[in-house]
Amino acid sequence: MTRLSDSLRGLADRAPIDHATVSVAGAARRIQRGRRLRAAANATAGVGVAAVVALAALHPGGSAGLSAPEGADAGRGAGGAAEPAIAGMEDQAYVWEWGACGSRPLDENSDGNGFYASLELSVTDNVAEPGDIVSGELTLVSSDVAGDFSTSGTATVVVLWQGFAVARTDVTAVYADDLATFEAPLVNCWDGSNLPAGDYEMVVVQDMYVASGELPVEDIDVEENGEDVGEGIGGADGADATAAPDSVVSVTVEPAPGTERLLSTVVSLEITGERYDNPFDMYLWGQPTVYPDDYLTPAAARAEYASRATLEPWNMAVGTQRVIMSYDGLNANTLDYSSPSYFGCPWDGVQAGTFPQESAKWNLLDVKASLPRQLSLSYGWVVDDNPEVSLSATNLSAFSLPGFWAEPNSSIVLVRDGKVVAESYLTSIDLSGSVNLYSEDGMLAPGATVEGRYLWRELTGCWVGNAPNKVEPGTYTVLNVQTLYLDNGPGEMYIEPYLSDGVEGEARSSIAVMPSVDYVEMQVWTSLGTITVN
Amino acid sequence: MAEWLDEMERLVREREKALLGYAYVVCGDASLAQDLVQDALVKTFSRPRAGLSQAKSEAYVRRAIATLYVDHYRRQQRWQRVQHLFRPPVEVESSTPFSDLSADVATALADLPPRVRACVVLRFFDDLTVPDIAAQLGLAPGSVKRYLSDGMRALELRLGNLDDADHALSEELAVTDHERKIR
Repeated sequence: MTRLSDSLRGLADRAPIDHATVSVAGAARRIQRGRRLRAAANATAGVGVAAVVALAALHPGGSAGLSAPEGADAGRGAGGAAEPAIAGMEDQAYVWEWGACGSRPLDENSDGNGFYASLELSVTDNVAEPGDIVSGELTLVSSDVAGDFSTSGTATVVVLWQGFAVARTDVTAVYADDLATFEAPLVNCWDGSNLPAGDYEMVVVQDMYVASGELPVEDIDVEENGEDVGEGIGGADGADATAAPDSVVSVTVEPAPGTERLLSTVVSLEITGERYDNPFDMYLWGQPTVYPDDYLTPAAARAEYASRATLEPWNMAVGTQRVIMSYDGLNANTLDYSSPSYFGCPWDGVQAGTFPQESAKWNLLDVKASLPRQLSLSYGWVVDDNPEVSLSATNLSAFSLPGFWAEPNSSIVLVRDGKVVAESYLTSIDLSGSVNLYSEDGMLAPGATVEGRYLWRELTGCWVGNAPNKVEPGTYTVLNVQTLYLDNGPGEMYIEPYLSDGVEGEARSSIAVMPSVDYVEMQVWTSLGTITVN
Repeated sequence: MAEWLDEMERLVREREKALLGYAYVVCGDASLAQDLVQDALVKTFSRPRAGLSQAKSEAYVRRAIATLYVDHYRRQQRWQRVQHLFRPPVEVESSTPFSDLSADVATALADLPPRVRACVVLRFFDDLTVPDIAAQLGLAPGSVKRYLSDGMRALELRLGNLDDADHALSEELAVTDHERKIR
């Protein structure tokens, strides 16, 4: 037997990646651009500081005097400063406005602990009523060495619902003895209405700025190769120059401006009252598509299909039609070419399947086509003429059917002995490729018709092995397929709660936005007649 | 040169093919694998990490590859559900010959939904336990078990019985017998 683990590693070793390369320069540019943006954002936040807080601080890793940081990283320490990672390095808006409405600010962010300090958030009451104003406290937890630290005097309180920022308020937060208080209204950030009942989280973001002239100059011990020999980050504590070995020298660390964005700890917050499902869908996803009342829902499709299902083989007589349930969202992993409900060219390049054993005698669509009587092929191309084919599909059911935006599906297959041997995609006669929309919502109402005019320009034999099969001269049955993808609409969304992604230093993973839609896919196969291939 | 740049350059120089191969196993597409590795490098090295060894940085990048892949899928999910209605599938032929087994595995993996595929790779390539996978991908452990169960059933249909299939749902045990060098 085979071990999957070994097979996967073998696959990785032999992956077809000969032409794939990774650009270090490209990655470096993106990283540096992100760092510059953050540095600029933080420096701007530091201008006009209102309050100065005595705070322990040390230059990151003592690196300024050991290895000059790049210009892009000025003030950050090239290898040591613990900048909070901010999601979307390419997204300037994300950098400048952390916690923007509808964003997921914690997805990619760090635990928020900066190098200089961290913030601890607490609220007076974790339970509130709609319209309340929440009172909270921020505690600045500093490191052990002295330095001068400034804030702009404001902080931003962000309220999250299932990870989405739904409220965002700038508040005054001036520290006295490392403690600041604030008050924030519980209103959403789109239209200012009260946050509805539900479970929320609150986090505060605040930019801190350390002016270079205000930082103390530190002497620390390093090895001659530049490695810091102190303990922990910064490493000055406990270093004893007199006891240092010969290879250790004492150097002066020049302080550099330090700016960083601190995220507070996250606290939970409950707003009491009557709860509604998905209260922010309108803001997050916009107006959901409204399906017509007679829309064929997945549940109705299943019922209609089941009532007409048959195991009777389809003889593919001209004008007859069968419907197959090619995919049902209630069943996992059936949407592939190995499905027993698949019909078409062979999926494995070896063996074509016959029409599915189960299908429904359900005249959903009246599909008509004006086919040529014969087709002359050379190397798969139609050579004697490019016959024009008019194709139309009329909804015979009492339901509105989705997916008909402009024209019917013009896929054609040729069948012999019950198996597909060739396929063709008819080409629109419109050379410019412009599309005249039939419907703005893609719905085909009962009795409505979509139609198109096409040229039949090629016919491709099903692939067998590594080449398409040659289409032998003879007479074939021509089938058309119209695919119906039915779901219950985008109105019901399920958001998975977010979890730590398990990567050290990467506190949050992106949130799964999983539509809990019900859906089925049906294929309407219609026999259009026969054609002789020369 | 900044330490992070030096480390990133060394990682790419020495482990580029391994990372691309891993990304290919995760996503099944050489072009996407290239993008995934690139994005994972940016994600990993955007945040300075003190004392980042090569082995550790490679582990970061690998985790980031899997996470980015699933995130990418999540963002594209709604579009993917309907895209087949708008365009025919494009078959891309690889210029690199596969062995039969690799081709079988690649084909079998390709038919797995992205989440299932990611769970299978993290379980059987990275030796992550079910809880680890759940934490990595932001899923409930029950969901991971379901994905693994579905995935193994589908893979065994294609590949026949797999020796290590019984380990799929183990919450604690590593799949392989030996300690992986890079975790």
